[in-house]
Amino acid sequence: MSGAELRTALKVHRAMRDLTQADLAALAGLTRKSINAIETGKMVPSVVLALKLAKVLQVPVESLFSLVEP
Amino acid sequence: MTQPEAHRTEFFLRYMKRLASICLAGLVPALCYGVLTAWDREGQHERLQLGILLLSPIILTLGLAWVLFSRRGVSITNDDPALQAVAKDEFRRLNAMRAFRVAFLIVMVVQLPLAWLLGLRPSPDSLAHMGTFTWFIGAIAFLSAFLFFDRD
Repeated sequence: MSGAELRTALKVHRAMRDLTQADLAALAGLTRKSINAIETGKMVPSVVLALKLAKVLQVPVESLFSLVEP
Repeated sequence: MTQPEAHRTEFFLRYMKRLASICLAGLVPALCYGVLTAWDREGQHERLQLGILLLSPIILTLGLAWVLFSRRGVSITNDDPALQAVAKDEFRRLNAMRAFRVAFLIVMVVQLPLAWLLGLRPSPDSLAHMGTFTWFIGAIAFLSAFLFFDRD
């Protein structure tokens, strides 16, 4: 499993709900920078944060984040 | 959290960044003053030392006044959801951890040149100077690294 990268569909799901980064950050109780960092792959979110984002966007967490083998 | 509170989150982020910048701007002249005091024992640069000594409190006073003025009456309470969001934000915590690692590494790396430089002009205060320099360098490195990682 080493070397596997996290792929995120956060931006897609956010756009589908017509939410800005600031909107999503406000709904999930974090900052816009965090949302931007997750979307651009600068940060790997914790399990708690991933579940929180999935809950806010009302999608399974697996559809937001997946592992990509190199 | 509502949309105005999202703007408050941005406001708190900017507010804390300004505070960190002011602290950094106050620490740098204080370090320069320490360096001058440690090396200039004959008092050749007395005027410069005095100038730098006055610079740090002036920067801190004016800077803090500017930061407080920039609040424009916005109240800050501990139970504010926007403040809680900023305090618990994972990206900021990650940046703080990265900045701490950078600062720790810098503090470790500067020990040898610092000991060598202070050893060139040994005095009874050398140990105190080394400790003070280490503290200042660590604080400056941490704040600089944090502001760098947390930039937009």
